[in-house]
Amino acid sequence: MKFTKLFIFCFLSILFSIYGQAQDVTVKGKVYDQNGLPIPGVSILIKGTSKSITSDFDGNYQIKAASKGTLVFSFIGYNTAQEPINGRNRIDVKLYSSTEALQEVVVVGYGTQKKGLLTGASVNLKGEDLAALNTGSVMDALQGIAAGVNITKNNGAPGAGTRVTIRGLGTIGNSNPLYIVDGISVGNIDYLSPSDIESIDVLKDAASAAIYGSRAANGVVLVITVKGRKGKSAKISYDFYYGIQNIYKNLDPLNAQEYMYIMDEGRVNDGLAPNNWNTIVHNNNWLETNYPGAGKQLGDDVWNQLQAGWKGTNWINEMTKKDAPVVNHSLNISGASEDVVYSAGISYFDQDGIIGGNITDAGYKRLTARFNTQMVLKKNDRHSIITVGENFTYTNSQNRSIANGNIYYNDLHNGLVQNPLQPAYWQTSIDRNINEFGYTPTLDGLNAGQTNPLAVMFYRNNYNYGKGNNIIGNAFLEIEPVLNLKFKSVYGIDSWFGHSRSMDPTFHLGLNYVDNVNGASQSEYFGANTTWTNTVSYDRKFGNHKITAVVGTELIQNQINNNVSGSRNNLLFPGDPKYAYINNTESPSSINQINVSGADWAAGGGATQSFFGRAQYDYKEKYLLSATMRADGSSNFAKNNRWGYFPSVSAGWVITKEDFMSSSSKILNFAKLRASWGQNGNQSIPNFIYSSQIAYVFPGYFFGDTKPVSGTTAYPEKVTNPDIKWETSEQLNIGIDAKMFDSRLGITLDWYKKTTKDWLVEAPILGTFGAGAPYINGGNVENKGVELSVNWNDKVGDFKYGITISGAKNKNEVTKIANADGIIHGSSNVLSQGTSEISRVQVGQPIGFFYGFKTAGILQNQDEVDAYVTPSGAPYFNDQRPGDIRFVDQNKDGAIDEKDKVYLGNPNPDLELGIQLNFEYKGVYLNTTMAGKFGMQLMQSYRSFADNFDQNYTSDIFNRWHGEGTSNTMPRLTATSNRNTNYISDIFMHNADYLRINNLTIGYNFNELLSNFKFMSNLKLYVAVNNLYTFTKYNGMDPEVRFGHDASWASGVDLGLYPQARTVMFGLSVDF
Amino acid sequence: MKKLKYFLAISTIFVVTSCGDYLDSENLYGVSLETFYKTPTDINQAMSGVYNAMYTNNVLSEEQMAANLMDNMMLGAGGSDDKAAKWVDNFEDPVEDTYRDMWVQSYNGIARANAIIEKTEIADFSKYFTTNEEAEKFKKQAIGEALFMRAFFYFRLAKFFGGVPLIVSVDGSKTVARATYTETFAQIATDLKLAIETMPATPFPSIPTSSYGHANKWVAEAYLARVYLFYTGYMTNIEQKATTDLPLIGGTALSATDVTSYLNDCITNSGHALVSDFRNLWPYSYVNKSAGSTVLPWAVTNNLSWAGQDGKAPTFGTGNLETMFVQRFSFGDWGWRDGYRYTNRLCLFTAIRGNSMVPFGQGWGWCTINPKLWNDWGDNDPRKLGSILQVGKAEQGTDSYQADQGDHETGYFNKKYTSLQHGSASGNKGMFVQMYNWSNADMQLMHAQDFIFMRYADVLLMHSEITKTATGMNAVRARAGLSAVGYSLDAIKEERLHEFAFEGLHWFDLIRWGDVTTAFNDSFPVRNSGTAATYTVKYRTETKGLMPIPETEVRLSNGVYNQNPGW
Repeated sequence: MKFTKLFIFCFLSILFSIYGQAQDVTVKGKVYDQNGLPIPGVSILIKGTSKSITSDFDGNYQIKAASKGTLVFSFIGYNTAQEPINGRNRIDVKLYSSTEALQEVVVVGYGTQKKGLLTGASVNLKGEDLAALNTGSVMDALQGIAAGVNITKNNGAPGAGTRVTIRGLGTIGNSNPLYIVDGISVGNIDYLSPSDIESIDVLKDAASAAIYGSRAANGVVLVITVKGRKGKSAKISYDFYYGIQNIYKNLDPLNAQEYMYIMDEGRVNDGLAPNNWNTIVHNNNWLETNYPGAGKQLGDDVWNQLQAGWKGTNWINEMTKKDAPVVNHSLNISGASEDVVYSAGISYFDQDGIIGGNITDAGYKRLTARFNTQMVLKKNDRHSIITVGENFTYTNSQNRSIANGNIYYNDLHNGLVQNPLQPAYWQTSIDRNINEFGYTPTLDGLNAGQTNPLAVMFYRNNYNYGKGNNIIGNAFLEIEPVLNLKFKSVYGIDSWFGHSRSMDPTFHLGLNYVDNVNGASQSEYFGANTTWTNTVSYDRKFGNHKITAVVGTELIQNQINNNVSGSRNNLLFPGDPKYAYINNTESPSSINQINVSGADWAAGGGATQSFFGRAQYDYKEKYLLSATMRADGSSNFAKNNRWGYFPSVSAGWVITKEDFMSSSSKILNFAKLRASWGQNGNQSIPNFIYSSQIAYVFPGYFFGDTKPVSGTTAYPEKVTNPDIKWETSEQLNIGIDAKMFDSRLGITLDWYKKTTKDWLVEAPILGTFGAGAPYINGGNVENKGVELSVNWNDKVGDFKYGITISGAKNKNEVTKIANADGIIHGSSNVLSQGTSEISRVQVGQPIGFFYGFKTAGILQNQDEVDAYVTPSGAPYFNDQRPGDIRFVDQNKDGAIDEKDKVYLGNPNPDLELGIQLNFEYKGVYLNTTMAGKFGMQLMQSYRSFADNFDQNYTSDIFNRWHGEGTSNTMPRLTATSNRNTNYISDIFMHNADYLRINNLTIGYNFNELLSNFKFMSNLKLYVAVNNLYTFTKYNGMDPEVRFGHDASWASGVDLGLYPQARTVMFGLSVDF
Repeated sequence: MKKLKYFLAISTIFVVTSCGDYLDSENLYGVSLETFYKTPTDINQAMSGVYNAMYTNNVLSEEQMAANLMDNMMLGAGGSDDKAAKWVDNFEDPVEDTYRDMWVQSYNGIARANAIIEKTEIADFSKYFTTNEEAEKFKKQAIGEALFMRAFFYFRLAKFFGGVPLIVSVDGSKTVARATYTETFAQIATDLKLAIETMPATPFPSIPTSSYGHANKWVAEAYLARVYLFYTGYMTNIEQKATTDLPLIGGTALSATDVTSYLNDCITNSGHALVSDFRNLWPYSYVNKSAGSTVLPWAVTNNLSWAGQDGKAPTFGTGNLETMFVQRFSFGDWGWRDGYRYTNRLCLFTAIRGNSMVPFGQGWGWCTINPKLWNDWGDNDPRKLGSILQVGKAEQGTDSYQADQGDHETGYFNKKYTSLQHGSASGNKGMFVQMYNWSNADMQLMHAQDFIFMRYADVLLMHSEITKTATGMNAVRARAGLSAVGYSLDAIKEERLHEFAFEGLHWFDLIRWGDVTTAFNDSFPVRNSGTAATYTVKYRTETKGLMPIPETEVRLSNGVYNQNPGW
């Protein structure tokens, strides 16, 4: 009670003191920087009030204030200045830049901190800079900008997502970083429009991330969405761009004549007669049988066209959409009144697919709406007492994609390998009711199993309709009963819901491409994770000592995860997807015409619960110390192993604050040494590994006469591992930050060593255990690296420029796998059906390294063939001949076998490079971002060479061996399966070093021209090109290849990957 | 005061989030081991789990596939990419883990059987049955069946790998060394003997159709004879340690007389009988009926009518008392987990390559047939055309056959297990797809034909071989319309070859008779995808007919498992 009275008294007395003296004067002035240039947007606050304005474009301001008041001038990046009015009418102020942005406040776990006081390794990025890159997703924009953050697009398809690896792969399980948006953990941030983002902080070292303990082992990406700003009147800004996308680099499949020539050469090499192409194109048994006369007619048409010089079908061109549009609108409103700050945004993004966009309407659409508010409910003269607020984003997205996976599920691959003799469309097929869209049926004389890749793409993708929604955000309450003692409770929700339906069409296009049964399927899903965080923080200064402390609890639960789906055969209204709903199907006559499933995967409960604390101390902002501790409990582990404890310590020393450094301060403006050590946890394994569970399997076994329906069947699925516990990632980081030459040069250098211990891995076990292998704490992985970021910003007259170069070097090595084998195998049949594994995880090697035979060139002539012999003098292969590959017999045992397979290459880059250049001259600006990766390899195969010999080649095949000296890397052609290709060797491997100009933007800011129009500012018009040019020696479409195979740890396998488009954009942005 | 309120509120929230057992969770989609095996329903579901372990993902790990490829009457073949088929055929193994799925799935089956044996013994099922006797009968059938299945899996392991680690309890060590060949067979024989003694003696025709597919006392008796013949033959002819006894655990052994009495029991009491026409065992005898028109003229000429595959009173067919034990197959689906293994891939893989005809559809053309079998087999034996599919014959529907689509082409294919299809309103579809009105007509997934492990004909032939009498053999010959002959081992050998061709038995017969060392001396012309070639294979005696222990298992055992000789 006493306190309230005091509070009211104080508050009133201030109020009266202002109004009592009510001797208001109008103060005018101008704000300059140290170079005498006006600074727009400076916040000018009357001290002790919440009244404030901002300076205009020319740095001018005008404010009414009490004549004895004080004005506070503040602007990010500059030291705050205070000027007592003392009755003056004009006050011009010079603001000095705070040593670059060291005074800037950045986001750290559960709080904020001055950038200059950070002791960990993190990257801080502004949302507007990322939005300026005009990428579809935020993470796309980070590529090449944040050192040590490896971002690889899954592929070039719209909405395809990215793989983000911070400081190297630490696990073969889930290696995604933890994403925290406004304090709430989410799966990824692709649901956000880049314009919704105020800042992104990537926490790379253990000490920065440690406060997130669990889930932070792969690093943390902290995202703050755009907030209103105190003391600013409403600002409305609008951004728009429109672009056209085209394939940047196309592959060159053989045309009809080249194809026939190359196919014949393979046969001749094998001692066979060349193909009789006339017979082959006429030999359409399936078509002739099912549509009498059509087989011959197709053969005649093809043959006659070939005779007339037709070059055949280029399937890639057929499935490529030219000038595919991409468009984005975003509207943002932010502002504040005395006790309320608010920010709202709405944006729409629509990108057409360059592959298949012309056939199936492939593309990605996203609508986002965001509303963030914060209200002070109670306050006193010195601080707010009760503040409440919310941040919510709604996203609606639609992703119509094409098949983009392994050799059996990849539309682009289908196009690459399809023979060029088959026309894409054939009018007769409409006229004769073979296919209503005119797709040419199979040319089955060439290969009975083949299909029309356009038809496959169409029927597979066109009739799927689905939309997804996310509502993600939080509501919070902050109470500050005493100055700097803050309690904050945040309840967040990450929810997703959506629906999809599809029509199963019918078609008759070939022996193996017939679907006679149509149907409809529908599915709905709904899920939500909640996060409830409570923290208490306290800041206190005792003389030169400053202490900041925060303690808190957090509870994360998956509240609901509901999935229901069903399908039924036999449409009542076939052919029109408009009617494709389950209700519009015939009553089922047999059980197998119905298929349903439903579960709520969250209904069993479970959570992650945490307690954490952090204390920070600094002495004169010179000696910095920070320590955190987090205890995490996870339902994924048995009761006695549930809790993991993750400490960290870090320290910093700002050398330039020492007196003895004052003499050098002209050159060295700022220097800070940092060191940190900490541990983080990883718990991402399926639940119930610790307890033995009986799994119900489908199908089970068929007793009685119930076939084809199986009986209920159960068995213990996995061996139990009750001892499974947290994986720990331990990281040591030493770094230095420096500013030199009037802060024009900035340097950040970090060295780190990250060791993953008790790695959660599903390692193979002996068959005699009689059930599947459990996850074990089964190994260690080490990542070591150096990151360097250098930037230079300067100004020559009106010409401003900036250069940022960042590089990151990382070495990844598996140091232990806790089973006797020491290997985790990759899939086989990746490059072609019938080939062995190409990538592995093995002790002493990087995760996912390529594995196979080393080759030593091609046997050029009979002498070399005769010389290719075992130590005992016998030829390695009885049938070896010129043009064959010389496989290396590593162990010299006279046989080329499993024992000779070795490390071939590494899909993970050794070095990543990012370059950003910014130039500005009198409103004209030019920005470019480049990203490169070096020292990595990839495996390339576009053909299923071991079983489908009639698949097409790209024109690279002209570099094959076809006589002495013609090639030392590409073996002779054959007409059948041959060890030259079937033995997985380095002939498939390519270096994939590249440097890509990700973005180039040229624009003009009309600010000076518009300085008289008060309602409008910051009008910018620009032209930008994304993916302008890629410097690389790689011959494929794109050297950036995320695809591996079924295992998430594998990457770098190019089977014909959806390429990234080159996009030319025009855009404008304006503030009101 | 107000401050106090704030602090109270804050503390309350902290307490709320700190307490409460948020971390406890319950698995709603799987049952815990502690609560399972408590009801007869649990046991039935677990028993299905044991049989489910017969399926393997890798087709080369299917006993019937590997045994057929290795047999001298079947070649490797397939297309030029099917290297693996040729490697198995030629006793080569340049890659790793060819038979690992068989190893792992067998041990999965053994572990599941161990759990049933142990948990059923101690369970009280009385409240689920009206009388204690019924509860007891249920338990005995369950335990006996699990013992049989454990023996089945160990026998499979022993046939392929020799002596193997013996895991016979739920909680015992799983990291034991390989037992000796004899120890392994003692375990198998002991389990089978106990299974025979435990399971009720219900005649097969009295067992309800709903239990069809479960092993029973008669199956166990027949398997004991098969195990006896294999062990004694192997020890005598491969290990050169002549014996006529099958050891049991504890030092005793089963003699020929003991085994004969089990076979006599089976012949007298099982109710099993030969199907009247050998050819009615195989689904090609049903294809005309399924199609509703004559798509296989030969079957009409020979008046064939399928016996069916659900026992005495099948849904389709006339009734089958001959088939004793099968691996049941249905349809596959690419969308299911391991969905392709639930269809009989022996049919898919051995069907004609590159030719989709009616009624014999397209397959991968593996296991083409040694022409010697065709040439040496008398035309008066209806089993010859009943087992071997000739191409280019209008009466077989193969007149449109186009040659040179695959390797090791001899013009002869497996007719017992092959792809069958005929026309429908929407084109040619698999016979079983149409019979069962199944919606997924994928030609790779449509083979719902059971694989027969044990037929009553084998009981008769084993009886002849063990007792050295001709009665059983002549009963089998009589069914084929052949005259009676006197007993001789050579007569048995020819009879078994012709009766069980392509049924995955002949390879093991070659081993136990010691004929394996001489059976692979043939060399004859074949066509490899259009090229003339000579077919030969090299059997290596040092392997003693055993396959390599999966290399990964050897490594995972840290060297505790020694590799088999020759690998």
